[in-house]
Amino acid sequence: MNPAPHLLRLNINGQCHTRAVAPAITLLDFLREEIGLTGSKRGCDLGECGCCAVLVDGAPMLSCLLPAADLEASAITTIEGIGCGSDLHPLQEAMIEHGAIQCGYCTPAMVLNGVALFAREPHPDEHAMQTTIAATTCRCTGYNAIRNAYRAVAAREESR
Amino acid sequence: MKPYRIVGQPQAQIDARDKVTGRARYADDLRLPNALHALILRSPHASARILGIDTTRAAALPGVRAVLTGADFERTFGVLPISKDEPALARERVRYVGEPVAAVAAENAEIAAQALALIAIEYEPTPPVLDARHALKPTDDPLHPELKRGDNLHKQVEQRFGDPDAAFAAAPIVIEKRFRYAAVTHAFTEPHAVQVEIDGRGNLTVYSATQVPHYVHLALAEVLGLDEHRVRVVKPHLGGGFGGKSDPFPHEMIAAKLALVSGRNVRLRFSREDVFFSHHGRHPTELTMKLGFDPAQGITALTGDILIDGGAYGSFGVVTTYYNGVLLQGPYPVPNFAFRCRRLYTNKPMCGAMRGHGGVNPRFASEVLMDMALTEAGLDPCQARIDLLHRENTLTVNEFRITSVGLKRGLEEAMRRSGWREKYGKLPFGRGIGVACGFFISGSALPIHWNERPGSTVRMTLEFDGAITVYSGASDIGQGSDTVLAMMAAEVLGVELDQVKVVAADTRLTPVDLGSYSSRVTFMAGNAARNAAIRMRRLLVAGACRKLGLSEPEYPQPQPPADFFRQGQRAPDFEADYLGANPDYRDGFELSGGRIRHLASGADIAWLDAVHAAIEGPGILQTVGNYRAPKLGGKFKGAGAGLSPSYSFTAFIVEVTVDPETGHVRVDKATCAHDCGFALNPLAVRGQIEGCFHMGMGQALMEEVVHEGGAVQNAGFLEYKIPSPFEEPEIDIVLSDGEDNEGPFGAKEAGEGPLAPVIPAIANAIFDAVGVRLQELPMRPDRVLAALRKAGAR
Amino acid sequence: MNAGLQFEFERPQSLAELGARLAQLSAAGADYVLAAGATDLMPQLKLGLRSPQRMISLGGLSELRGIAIDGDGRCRIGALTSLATIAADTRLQALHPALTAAVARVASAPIRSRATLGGNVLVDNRCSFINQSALNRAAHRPCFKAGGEVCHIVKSAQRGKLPQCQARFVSDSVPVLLLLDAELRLWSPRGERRVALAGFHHDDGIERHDLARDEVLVAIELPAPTGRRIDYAKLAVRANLDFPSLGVALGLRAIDNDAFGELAVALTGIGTHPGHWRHRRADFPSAAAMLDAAVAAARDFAASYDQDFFPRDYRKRMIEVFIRRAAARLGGAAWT
Repeated sequence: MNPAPHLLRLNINGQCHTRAVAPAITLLDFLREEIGLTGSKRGCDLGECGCCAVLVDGAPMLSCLLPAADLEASAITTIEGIGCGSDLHPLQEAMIEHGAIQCGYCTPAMVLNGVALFAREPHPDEHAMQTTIAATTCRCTGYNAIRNAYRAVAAREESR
Repeated sequence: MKPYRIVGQPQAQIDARDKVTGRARYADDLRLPNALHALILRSPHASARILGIDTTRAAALPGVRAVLTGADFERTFGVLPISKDEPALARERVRYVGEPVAAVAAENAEIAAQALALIAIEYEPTPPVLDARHALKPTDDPLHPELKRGDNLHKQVEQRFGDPDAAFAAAPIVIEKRFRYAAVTHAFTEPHAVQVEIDGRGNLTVYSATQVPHYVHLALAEVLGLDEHRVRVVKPHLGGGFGGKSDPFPHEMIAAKLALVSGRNVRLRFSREDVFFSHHGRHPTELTMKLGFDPAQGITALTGDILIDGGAYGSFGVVTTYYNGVLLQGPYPVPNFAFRCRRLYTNKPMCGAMRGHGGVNPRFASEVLMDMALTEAGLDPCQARIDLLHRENTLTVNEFRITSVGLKRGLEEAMRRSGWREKYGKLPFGRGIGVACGFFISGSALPIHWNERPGSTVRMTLEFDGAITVYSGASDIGQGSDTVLAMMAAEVLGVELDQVKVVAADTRLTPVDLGSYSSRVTFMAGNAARNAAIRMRRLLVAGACRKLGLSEPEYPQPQPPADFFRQGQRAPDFEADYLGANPDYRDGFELSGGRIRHLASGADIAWLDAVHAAIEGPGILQTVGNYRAPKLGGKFKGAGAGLSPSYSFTAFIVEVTVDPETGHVRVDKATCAHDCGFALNPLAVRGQIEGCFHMGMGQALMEEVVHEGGAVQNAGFLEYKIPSPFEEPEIDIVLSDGEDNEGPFGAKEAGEGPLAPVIPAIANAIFDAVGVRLQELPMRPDRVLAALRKAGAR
Repeated sequence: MNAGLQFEFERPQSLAELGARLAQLSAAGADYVLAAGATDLMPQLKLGLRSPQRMISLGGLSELRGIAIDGDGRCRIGALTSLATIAADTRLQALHPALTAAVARVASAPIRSRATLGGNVLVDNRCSFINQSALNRAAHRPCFKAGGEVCHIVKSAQRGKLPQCQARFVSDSVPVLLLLDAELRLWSPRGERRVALAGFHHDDGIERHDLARDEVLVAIELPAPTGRRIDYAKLAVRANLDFPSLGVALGLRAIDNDAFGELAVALTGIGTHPGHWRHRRADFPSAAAMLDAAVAAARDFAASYDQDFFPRDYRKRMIEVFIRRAAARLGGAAWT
């Protein structure tokens, strides 16, 4: 017998979402299948590709590995919560400008991980940037353009 | 400086903002109303007879709306008309672990999973054939009995030009070596996904992650027995392809059939492991290659005997079999040339086209042999390669027409920037520098399905509000093809990029384009878009002339280009000859800044007023442009393989550090010279080259699909090792400054050609570093160390 | 593959609450799994390697989180402290740099921000025949660890004969923790105990350690620094994501003014459990002989059978290279 649905309440991008769901639902499934936020990608569902990254209380985590029910006390940010309309995060702008985007499938995670990094450390060193970029598998760019976009943000005079 | 505003400038992708905000929708991101969830049951056996399938319990489960088995599909299919050997669902036998055997559609994924568990299949396992050598042996139970052969040979190609034996006998330097290659796969980040929408009249709209909507359209109609007009294939945003999404697939047939049977919309997505089952990656290969070299003449002869392990079905394999040989006809002249290539069926997921299709593996061998020959001859491996490149406007012995060759200056510059002369042969033990070259087609000149229609057609509209829409069947798979089409339209029509919208890869709305494979889109769809834009410009200029009281410009009659290499039987036509060959479309008007100005008189008019004048009659401006390749090639069997209207050329110079105690190879720096003619969008071209380097380095050093008993053992990103940013060096890129006569604005391909030379450049750098030649891929640390120990023992 | 996980979920807010619940569940013979970061567990659940009826998250137990360091340098690291927190802790970086460095090499950054030190100490052993989908396991016949009757690595293995399973031990933190003389604080409704990390893991890929079913690893405790300098080096294809194909921790400590007084070695990635040795200079004619003995012991240990991207013979050879290089980094050229 499947467990009975469980009323789950999550704070996502500053908004409260309540759904009756299977108690074992992952955050990725909650985002994509329950509330229609498809910016978090299901590249492997096993925590290997990194394309499903979200921020949990500001820290990047892989939503495919997170039991959603474990996060009722947390603030969750998805790519849909970063930059709105024409007001993009400097990293989003830099990624566009530097050609750091090809197919775009890894892009939401590349942005979120970087947003968290630059919030913590406006001028991170190369190793910190490499570590952050390495969190997400990109098969198109060879990471060079992504690295350049990160460097451009790190070299800015002041973070926004 | 070329007189362009938009092309030739680095341009961000037109959908980059959608991608960077998560708005871009990929196939599994769409939400069709009331869709069923489909799941596929796959074979746990590499080889077995199917004695029986009982689906009654699954079909009876509440919430299950359709159950399919092989019996529900009459026809097999395949991307090539000559090898339609693949069933949507296995019938009578299974040929690889992971082959689809049955499928269900149910109200949700949980019910679908329960239903799969209720399907009872009785298998009788049979001994699997797991490698190409084994597949050559006689058998009375081949994988494909329909071929009526006593072995598992799928395709054998032999070609011979000149007299290689005599040339070898006369050559001062002759080297022959054997090379081995592991299977590698595309590893795009978006798993395959398909969603099918069915309307009240039974028409299907299939949203699929595909590089080839047109071929999927044709295959769906044929396999499902539907009139072609009842099927529409749409490619949403696509998360990487590299050739791995360039076939019609079983899951597309299955999802469509489930929709037809249930009358409901259907959603089907792959797990990452499913992607490895689907595979279609580069063939595991074993080859022996022999090179004859004369320091005074260059290569005098090249021969190869090549065995490629195709897996269970055909896919693009017949083409791969040819390409493994014929793509050795560049980047240097090879006057005496012969090869035999055999593709074998084995009980593994099928191989197919992967970036650099068929040209990558033999290039590793030929460029390592070349390096050995040049070293033996005491020549500088980089300078000698420059000296030996194809000349422009020549024919190869197998009658490839070589037009523009812009690598020479680029490689000289790359040599300088990399510090080649200061480094080659002079770095301390453990550090080395190596070089290799390659070339690649800018689109296959021949269509897969023989017909006289253009391979690319673009429709363009311009409406009262100034909105320009480009309708193209080309599939943007992340390489930015939509952007480059929009750039050309904006350039020709004198508007900014954001005034152009691209509607692409929708077989109902967009005219036929054969798809994104063989590096054809920029060249072929690009020429079509450019031609449609030029026609649109003429309508616009006519409107302006009417308003300004000027007479319309006289347009020159199309003239065939002077060169004799155009072996066409067809009369010269506007598309292929005049426009394709003449980048200069100027007509005495300047279109920019929202104005249209007559240069001679200085009279001008608002751009939008000209539009209004031009649409007075028709109500909308609409033009069509298309591209078909010129007729090329010789008269011998297989002469069509590898023919292209133009070829790109690439060289990589790579620096490595080899740890002699661990065998670990680190790539420190790469310098690339690439001849893509005119770089329409340098940002995208650089991105393609960097991506090629990444994939080439992965195959060179770490990537390898591991099978055990036919099952893929590393079907994920943890165990299938693609390089991380920590392994990725900085790449310095020198782009050619030339133009190709027939490419749009002089452009050639950039997406695949740069891959092949990466691997031998790394191997040659390893030799410079520690003095050993690696002949097996990937060049894992344990292999490097074994080679070093063997060399030390000698 | 996974069509949605099926388990009940609960999240107690204190050890006391957890204790009551575990006692209840144990009495009822209920099937449950305890989850910390769950970064190792979730893939196993999705692949059907385990299918518990209930997940009990330890996430609400804030008392299990945090790093405490006393005036003598004794550390208590709550088992639920994330690897990212440990790697970024400046006090630990100063006190035990090898530990923070080893932890920073686990998996990838977003996994480290969720994964815990306790989880890394207890991380499941891996094998290319078990960490697979149900279909792959069916293709090969289920092995002992999957509840079957065969080992694909050692074909002659029989049920009940240890080691039953050759799955590899892959923790990056444990070799360093061993050289730091770590102790584990274990808690259960039956009480609390403290055990040395040395000897905690077993020579088997299935029955992997001494943790009882209802026991929770609550903290990892490190004694005051003994002056042992530690080096951790990891063999992996990539600098990101990969489990260690081999991990070597080497510790060097002065005894009686002899800088080479004691050489300690711990291994991961190349056996069913961590290898761990202490060699005293006093027992050898020379420092070089002590180093030779350390190499020999480690190589003998690695005579196990297992599977990895790198062939076993290569990894065995690398043990020596890694040990000698680490020795040179710590002790300079004076070994010869």
